Amino acid sequence: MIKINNTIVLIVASLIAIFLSYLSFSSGNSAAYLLPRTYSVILVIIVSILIISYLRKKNEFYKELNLKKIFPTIIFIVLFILFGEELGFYFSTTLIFFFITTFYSPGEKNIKSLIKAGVICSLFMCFIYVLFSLMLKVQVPEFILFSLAN
Amino acid sequence: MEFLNYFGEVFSLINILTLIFGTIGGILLGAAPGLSPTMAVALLIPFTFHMPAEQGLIMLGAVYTSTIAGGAISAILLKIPGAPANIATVMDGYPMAQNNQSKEALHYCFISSLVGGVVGIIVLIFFTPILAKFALKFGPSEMFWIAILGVTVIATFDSGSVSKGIFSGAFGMWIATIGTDPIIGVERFVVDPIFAGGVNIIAALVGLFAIPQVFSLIENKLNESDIFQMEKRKLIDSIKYNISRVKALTVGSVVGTIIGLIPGVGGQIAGLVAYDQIKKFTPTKADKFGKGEPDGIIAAESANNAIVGPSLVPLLILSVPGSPTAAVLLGGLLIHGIFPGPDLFKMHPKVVWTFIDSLLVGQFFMCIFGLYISGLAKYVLRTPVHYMAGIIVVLSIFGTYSVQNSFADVIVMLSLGTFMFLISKLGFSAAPIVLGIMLGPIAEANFITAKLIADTQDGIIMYLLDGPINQVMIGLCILSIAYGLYGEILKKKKIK
Repeated sequence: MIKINNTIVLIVASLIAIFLSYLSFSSGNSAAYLLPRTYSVILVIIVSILIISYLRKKNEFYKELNLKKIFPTIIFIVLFILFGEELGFYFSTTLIFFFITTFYSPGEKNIKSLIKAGVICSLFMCFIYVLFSLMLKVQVPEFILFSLAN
Repeated sequence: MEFLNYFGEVFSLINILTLIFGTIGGILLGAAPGLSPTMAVALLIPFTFHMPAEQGLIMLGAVYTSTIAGGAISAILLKIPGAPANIATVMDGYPMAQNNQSKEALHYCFISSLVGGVVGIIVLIFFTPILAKFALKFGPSEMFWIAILGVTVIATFDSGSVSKGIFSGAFGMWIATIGTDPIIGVERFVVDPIFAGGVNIIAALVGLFAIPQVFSLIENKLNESDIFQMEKRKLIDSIKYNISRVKALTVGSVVGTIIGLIPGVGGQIAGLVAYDQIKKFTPTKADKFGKGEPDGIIAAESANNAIVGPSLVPLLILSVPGSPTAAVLLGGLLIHGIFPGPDLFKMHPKVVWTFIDSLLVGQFFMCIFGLYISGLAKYVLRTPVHYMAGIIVVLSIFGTYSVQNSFADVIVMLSLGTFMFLISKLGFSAAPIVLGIMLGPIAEANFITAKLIADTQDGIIMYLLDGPINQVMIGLCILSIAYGLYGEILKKKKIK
């Protein structure tokens, strides 16, 4: 559990402001960059205000972040971004759905609960296939699952 | 009375089916704890992309209206507001359920929502054309300030902190500059050719609203306590009693309408203010509030549905949304090529009036289906949150991809969503970012046009500051920031 206070807020806001300012001011002198530069200056001004606020109340507490709990989902999202297109949407999202429903299930994890999650997952993915591929005619990257149907 | 010309359009078979489907779906989505109306509308936008503009907007409008009313079901039966707008409903709704009056409370909720909703839509119908005539006088400098005002107002009202709200708004406007510059044609910050057209609005909307919800559901498992059984209660008795509560209905509808017209203020404020006002207006019952007083539910629910119509008045004419959900609805308009503005009713009269008329008809459907579905809602309330989280992820991925068959959009959606969840923990809010992304291009296009005109006159600064409308807009921007800061100071004093 990470406790978030003003220090973390300030670091994140500063990093965003510095990064966007760097991109805006290092991209040539075209008039096209006038507004991005204006916005990044506003971001820097707000960060300055946050610094003043930080000096007054350094340890103001905001919220808790349960990183341990959400970390596996973040990993799955990163894996989807890296391999989702190659593995196909139906295959990779089935894995994500099955993972979320079993890993975060509050009950006891046994064969029965896994089969139940598997059945619900399969039915839901069939619904998604009917909705997107058959009704809306959306061509998603398919890989193995459902590719034989077309 | 132009709205009557298009009333028949709502009753075409496909439109009425869309309205019914949207209403039932909205009530069920609203009843599901943890799914806000804003998220529901954001998640639906990719699907409406495949529909004609009329049907798409009818669907989004129906969901917007009915999710707020549906949110009262979990507020009353579970003590968990289905939407932020239902916070005030919990105060007397849950005690009524504890007193074995859950069905009665749900009756009051849907009947009051109908009354408040109809009042709000009537304001929308008659107010919007008047404002449109006035807004026709706006030039590029006025439109530039309108876009800035839209972001400023949402930034100061929707965030806990004014500085963080403005930071989020400026961040969103910076994101909106990614892509090809509209006048010179220079590519800015384009890391992949897919971004030459800018960040896709739907990817941003779904990412910023739906994905953080997934993490929240996973992180904070909701307490699925026992759901109250429904007592036997005749609907006609509830209707008679509800209609007799004129004071509560009037207070709720008037408060909701006024608050809806103020850009950036959401339904939760309307519900809470109406609840507070009805307590003050009925001092004889003061000690009954919080213990299951029907007037509390009637005022809160009529107020939170009365904001729907008025919140669309500034949205349709000035692109300034009246609530975070209305901000998301702006995305729904934009993807159908409908750009809000003073000439909206001249350019797309059929689409806009059919949409507004459908909102009016939708209020009645919301009441009828709400009264019927509320008895069955216990099944939705029992849906485990981890299944809900999985469903949202899969729908977000497929929905975002379906818009322009782009995997890059899915990457943007997932990355922005994860980033949003993390920065929401730091006190930053999604609505100003989304509005920055949507109003950024409007601000930029009008700024550049203004600059081209101003270069032949006294320069851009004088041009932007000149004229009473510009000065009023600037004044409103300053006022909204000052009001936000004042609210922050008051809040801190209360905590101390």
